[in-house]
Amino acid sequence: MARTKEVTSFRDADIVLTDMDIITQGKNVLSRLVKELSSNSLLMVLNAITGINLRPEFTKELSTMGFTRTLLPISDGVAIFIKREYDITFFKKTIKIYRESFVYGPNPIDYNTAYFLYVFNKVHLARKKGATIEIKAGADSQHCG
Amino acid sequence: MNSMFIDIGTLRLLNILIKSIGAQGRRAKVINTLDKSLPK
Repeated sequence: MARTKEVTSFRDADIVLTDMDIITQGKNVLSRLVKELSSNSLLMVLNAITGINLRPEFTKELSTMGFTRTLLPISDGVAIFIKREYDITFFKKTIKIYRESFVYGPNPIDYNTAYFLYVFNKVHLARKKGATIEIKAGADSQHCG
Repeated sequence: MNSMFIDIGTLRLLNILIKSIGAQGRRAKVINTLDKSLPK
């Protein structure tokens, strides 16, 4: 396991590791997170598959507060949230690539995979300027940096 | 019943993210609100 430093302030944290029970039991945890979490830090919620089904308002609330979500089928589900920061150009380009993919291929990737790539790129590139991340999808590949 | 440990899949994902964040001696700063500790 890579070495980490445990901190107590949400402002200083790169990663906040929690689960659905803690989020839903302590109401001020969520409001503190939304206010204090840095835009390049991520919230990792375990036990998310059943948790999100039982409490769908949780993700809706975070979404309206500017977070984007990816739900990964690892163990009982891992949801990762990060603050959305893309402009209209990014959104237009995404739709263009999605539409063209049906004509030229490759097939569009899953929503959660795409958002995980967004989260990973944002976290990585915010801390390592000039890094190149190569994403290979079928015969095509894209660079971002 | 909840396990005492974070499962291996979640740890692997966490490890990738922590390695990606940490660079040049900087350690990733983590808040762990779980009742399970991270491996050293």
